[in-house]
Amino acid sequence: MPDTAIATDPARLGLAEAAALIARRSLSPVELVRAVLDRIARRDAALHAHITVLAEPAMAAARAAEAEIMASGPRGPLHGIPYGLKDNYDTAGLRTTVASRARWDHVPATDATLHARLQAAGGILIGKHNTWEYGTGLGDLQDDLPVPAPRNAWNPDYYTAGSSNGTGVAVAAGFCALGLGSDTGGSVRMPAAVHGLHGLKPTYGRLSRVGILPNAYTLDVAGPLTRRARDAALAMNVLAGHDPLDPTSLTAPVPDHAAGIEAGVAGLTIGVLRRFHERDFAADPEVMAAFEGAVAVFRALGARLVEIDLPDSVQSYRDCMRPISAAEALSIHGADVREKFPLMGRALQDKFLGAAAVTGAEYVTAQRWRRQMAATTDAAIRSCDAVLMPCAMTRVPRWSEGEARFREFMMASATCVLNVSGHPAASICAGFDSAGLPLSLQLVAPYLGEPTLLRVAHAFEEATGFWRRLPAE
Amino acid sequence: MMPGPKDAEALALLLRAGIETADHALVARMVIAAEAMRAGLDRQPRDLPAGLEPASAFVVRP
Repeated sequence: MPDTAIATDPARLGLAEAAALIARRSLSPVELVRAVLDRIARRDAALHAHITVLAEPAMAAARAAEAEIMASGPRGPLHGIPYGLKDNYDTAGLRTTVASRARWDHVPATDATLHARLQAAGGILIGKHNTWEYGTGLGDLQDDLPVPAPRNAWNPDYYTAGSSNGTGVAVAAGFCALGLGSDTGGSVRMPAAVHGLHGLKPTYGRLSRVGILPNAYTLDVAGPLTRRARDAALAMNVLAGHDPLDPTSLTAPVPDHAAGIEAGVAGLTIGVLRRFHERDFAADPEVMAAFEGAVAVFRALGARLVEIDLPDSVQSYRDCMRPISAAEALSIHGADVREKFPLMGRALQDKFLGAAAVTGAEYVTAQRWRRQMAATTDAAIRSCDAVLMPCAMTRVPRWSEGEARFREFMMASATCVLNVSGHPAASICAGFDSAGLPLSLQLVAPYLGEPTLLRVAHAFEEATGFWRRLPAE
Repeated sequence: MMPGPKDAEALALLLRAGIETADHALVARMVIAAEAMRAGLDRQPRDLPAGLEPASAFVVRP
C-alpha cells in the first residue's frame, strides 16, 4: 500500500498493511486509532455499524501500545491493530446487548476467549457491532429493534445480510481492520459477501466460542471478517488454539496460517461445484459470470480444475439445518423465551415459535441426516485441495425491495452447506455488479485446511485486485 | 368462539414453550410459524439406517 494511503487516511489500510507499517514504526497506533475514530464520527450516524463505540478506552490503549512498540517493538502483527466485535461477544464490564431489549443492560463479568486473545496480542477494541437480534435470523427486516439496521457501506440504499451485519459494515467502512463475527448458517460469510470482504468460517471447533452468546451449539462457528485473506491469516494465528472451556474445541496443533500464503495455486486441485447455482437456483447472470471468471483466473494461475458434484440440494441442507438451529436455540434461550418474550423483536419471536413445533424425534433425525450429509460432502471436498462454489447467488437487494426479497437473497446462498458439514469456508470478493455492489464466491477446504484455503484465496485476491477497491467516501 | 384444531395445537405448543397467552394474533403467528417449520420437517428422510447415530453424539473424554 503506498504511503499516500497513510497520508490520506490510515483507516483505509487493511490489517496486514497497517501491521507492516507499525512494525517499521512508520505508523503509530495512536494515528491509526484516531483515524478510525474520526471515520466513525463522520460516517456511522448514517451506517449504524456500532452499538457501542469505545473512543476513550481505545485511545488510551493506542497510547499504551505506541509506548510499548517504541520501547521494545510490537508483540506481533496484531499489536496496535483496531478491531471490533459483534455484540454477542462478552466483554467484561461492557454491556453485550445482541441488539435486543431483552438483553439491553446485560454486562458480562468475563471476556470471550477470542476477545481475550486479541487483547493479549495487543489489539485495540474500538467497539461492539450491531447485529441481528441474538445474532440470528432468516433475512427478516428486523426494524423493531432498539437500534436501526446497519446500512451497506458501499451504498446505504442496499441490504447488509446476515447477523454479523454491523461487523461487515464496520470493516468495509474502515471502522476497524479486523472484525469478529459468528456464523450459524452464513452470518460471517454473507455480510462479508455484500461488502466485498474476506469472511472466514473456520472448521467447526477450530475457534473457541466461549463467551459468545450461543445460537446453536452444533452449528455455531466464530470467524474473522477482513479486507483479504492475508489479514485473516494473521488473525487466525492469534485466534486459533484449543480452549479447554469449549467442549467442541479441537486439540489439533495450530499451523502458521500466513507462512505459505504466497505459494500460489499452481499444481493444486481445485474442485468446481456448479449444482447449487446451475441446478438448485437460477442464479443471477452477473453471479454466474463472476463464477466463470474465477474459474478462468484459477486456470490461468496453474491450478488443476476438476468438476465435482454433491447428491443433495441446498434446500436439503437447509431442511436439515433449520430444525437443529431452531431447537437448539429454544433449548439455550428457553428462560428468555419464558420471561422476556414481549421484549423481543418479531423476527426472533417467530424463530422461537417455529422452534416450538420441532419434536425431539425430529431433532434427532435432523442430526442423523446431518451426519450422512456431512459424510457425502466430505467425500467430495477431501478429494481436492480447495473447492470453488457460489456464496450469494443473487445480487445484493435494495432496502426498497422489501422483506420477501431479503429472505430470497438469504435462501439463495450456499453458505449453510458448510455449517451442516463443518468444513472451513470463506466468502471472497468476485467482482462488482452493474450497480457497483460486490459479488461473491465461496472457497472451501477439507477439515482444518485453513492454510490452503487462505493460500488459494490470496492467489485469487492478488490476481484480481478486487480487494483493493474500497467504498467511496 | 371455540378455537379450531390448528389454534388448539398452537396454544399447546405455546404453553410447552412457556408462553401463556390469550392473544389471538400470537396464536395465529404460532400457526404460521409451525406450518413453515413443518414444511421442512416433512422433507426429512424416513429411511435413515438404524445404525446412523446423530452428528452430535455424546462423547466421553477420559
